[in-house]
Amino acid sequence: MKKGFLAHGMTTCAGCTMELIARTVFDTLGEKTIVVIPPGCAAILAGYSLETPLELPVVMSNLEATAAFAAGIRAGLEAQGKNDVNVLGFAGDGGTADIGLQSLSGAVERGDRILYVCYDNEAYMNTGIQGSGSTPLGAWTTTTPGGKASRRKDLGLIMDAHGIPYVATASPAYLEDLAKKVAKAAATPGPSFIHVHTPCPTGWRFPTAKGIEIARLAVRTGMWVIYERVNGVLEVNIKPAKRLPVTEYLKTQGRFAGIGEEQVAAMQADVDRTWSQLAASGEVLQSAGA
Amino acid sequence: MRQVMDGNTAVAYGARLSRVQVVAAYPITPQSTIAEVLASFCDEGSLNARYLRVESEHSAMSATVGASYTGVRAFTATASVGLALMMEVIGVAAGSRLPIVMAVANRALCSPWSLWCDHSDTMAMRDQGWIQMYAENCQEALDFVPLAYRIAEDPLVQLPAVVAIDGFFLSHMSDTVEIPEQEKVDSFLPPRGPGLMRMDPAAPVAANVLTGPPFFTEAKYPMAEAMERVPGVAGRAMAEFGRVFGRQYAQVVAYRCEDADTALVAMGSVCGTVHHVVDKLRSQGRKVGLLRLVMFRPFPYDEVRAALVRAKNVIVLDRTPAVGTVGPLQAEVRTALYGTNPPPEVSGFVAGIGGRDIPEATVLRAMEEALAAASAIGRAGPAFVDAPALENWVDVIRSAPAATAVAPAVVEVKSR
Amino acid sequence: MPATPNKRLPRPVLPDGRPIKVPAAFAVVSVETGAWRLERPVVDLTRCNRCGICERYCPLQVITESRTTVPRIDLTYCKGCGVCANECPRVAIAMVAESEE
Repeated sequence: MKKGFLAHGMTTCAGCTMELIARTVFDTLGEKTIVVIPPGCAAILAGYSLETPLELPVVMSNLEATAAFAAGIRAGLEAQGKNDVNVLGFAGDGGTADIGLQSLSGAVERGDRILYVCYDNEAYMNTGIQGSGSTPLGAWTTTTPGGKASRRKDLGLIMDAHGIPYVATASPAYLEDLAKKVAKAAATPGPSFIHVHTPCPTGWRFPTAKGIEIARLAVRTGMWVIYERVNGVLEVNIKPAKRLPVTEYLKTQGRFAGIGEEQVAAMQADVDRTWSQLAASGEVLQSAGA
Repeated sequence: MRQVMDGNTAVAYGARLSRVQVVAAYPITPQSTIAEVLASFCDEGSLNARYLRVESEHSAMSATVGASYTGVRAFTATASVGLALMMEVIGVAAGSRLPIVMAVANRALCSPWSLWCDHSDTMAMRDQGWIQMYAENCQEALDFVPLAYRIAEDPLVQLPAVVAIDGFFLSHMSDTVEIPEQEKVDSFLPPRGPGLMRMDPAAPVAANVLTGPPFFTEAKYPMAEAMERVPGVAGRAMAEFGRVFGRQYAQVVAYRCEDADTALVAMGSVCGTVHHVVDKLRSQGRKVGLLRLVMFRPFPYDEVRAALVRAKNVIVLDRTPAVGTVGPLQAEVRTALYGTNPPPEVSGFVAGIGGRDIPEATVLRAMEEALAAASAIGRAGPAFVDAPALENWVDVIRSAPAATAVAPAVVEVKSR
Repeated sequence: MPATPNKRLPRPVLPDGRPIKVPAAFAVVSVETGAWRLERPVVDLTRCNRCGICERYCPLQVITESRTTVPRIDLTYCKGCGVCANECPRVAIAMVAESEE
């Protein structure tokens, strides 16, 4: 028996965590939802030629325009007094952190009521694993063959700098947390942004079975902080009881095979600094389930 | 009610009278006051529309497309590089069969930078599946907005439309404009119908998806079919517009062309000047006429051929720089006349680009050049009639660079 | 999974009733991705404690009844990624090569 709004058989890669994230997001939002998906891995969810796996209304936007398409849809709905529909932008890190950052910034600054979910697989996976602004330090991609020399940009902080009423991070290893955040974001009377860590077996070079385990390791090593900010107030939702060294995460993925000791030390230092800043900021720590 | 207003204000009135429901616009000279006036209309409540103050023209067109996908009447306006930035989404609007109307205050594309009028912006989008109408005066700037919606939203069409007004020459020129009564516009332009595709949770569809080679053509040729139906739809719409508002428009306006042995072809605000030149020359006994194109897309080939076939000389004024080709209007006119017997002698001139005025003298010079020298140099290439050193063109064409080795321009291949 | 044409937007027609093609996917279709599978998940019912974790993490949502009776895996679509086996806390799911049968 079919569950959810997506067909079970889609041409996503085996072990794709984006697929699991998408199913969770759609299931949480329900049928009164219009979806905007730009080119990228998730375009598979929009369909191909005459067929689609998705039972929700969906339009494929241009890569840099997910937020603008969604803002226009919201404006059109508001002009007709249809206020009970979710407008979801579902885009990858390239379409969000790089080419789509401007239209996202504009929509958030204007306060357009759109829910934007960025599935971050940390490179341009659909075009063949090219490096993006969200590719982490030291990671191999086809355009960073020697490992990426610079750090990733922090999308959550960029959103926070806009004064966005709701911004959160999430992980496919913690699906209840993700679902709860999607529901909160949808109920936000303004723009909301959820940044979801999205391990990619094809691009990160790990076995297809390991996606959830690696997502969990990212949280346990402190490399992926699960938090939400409601009207600027930060709350870390999942705090690792004892943070594992980042090498526990890095060693699971072929893309970090060539990483140097200096870069590993820099990454560990970044993580340590982030968590000491979090502790100093007095944010609420709870749910030590990790 | 008659009121003095500039072309941009007239466009904004046209949009308000059309009861647009979503406006997404980004400021750019010389379009900006369209965005400003519409923002004021929304702010004061005289226009019940959602106004999206987008952060770029790319987002302006994207948001307009998104809004139109929900079934509302959506409007935007831009110019020049703003239109160039939109270009990626211009094709989405047409391919998605969304009857959006966009005003363009025509301005030159760079480089070099120019704030001023020519048609290079709308010419760059001419084959993307949009209807294109070029206004001559402020009254048309207003009237063409509801007219464009009426044509675009026709169930037989469902394509977006551009209302092009010459930057500054129309956008910022004040003129007396008759503002139609709202009830009359409402009767002429009913609320938008259901359209071909929409974003509606009650009836989902996956729109504008990745489409493979077996189906891409199937999605595209209906656009061409719809464009083929535009002349008929526009003809009926213009007839009704004439009945309701007392102003009769046409896709092509032939002014004193019937017995003309020399016909000028032009679009936009320059036609005012050309009308004057035609009258003046007629008073001197010369058989001169003007063929003015209101619609450039779809291109009215039959009408242009019928209007020009009796002329001996056809002189086309392109307000678009032609580099490595002839002007787009000239190319279309030549296509329309191809195969006529005897064919008129066609001469094309680039004039008035980057905001250069096209005074009477330039029009006369084009005529003189065409009549005196057309057969001598063929005029197959571009001719910039209002360049100060026009006479150098002959030298440029005739002088070959003294290169040491020149590959033949054309190679004949017998087999492969 | 069957298409659900009644619920979806009807295909557009011209005023005379002739269909008009538009760039949109009207049919919901599921690809039989089970054909991709190299390894098949096999549940050891003696070890399975019906915790439901395999069902929760299956990227395709093709595992059902994991908390009520026994995990049922729809092999029409299962790509054999192995996430269920990897996540199972009781090591109750084995990935068995398809060629072994």
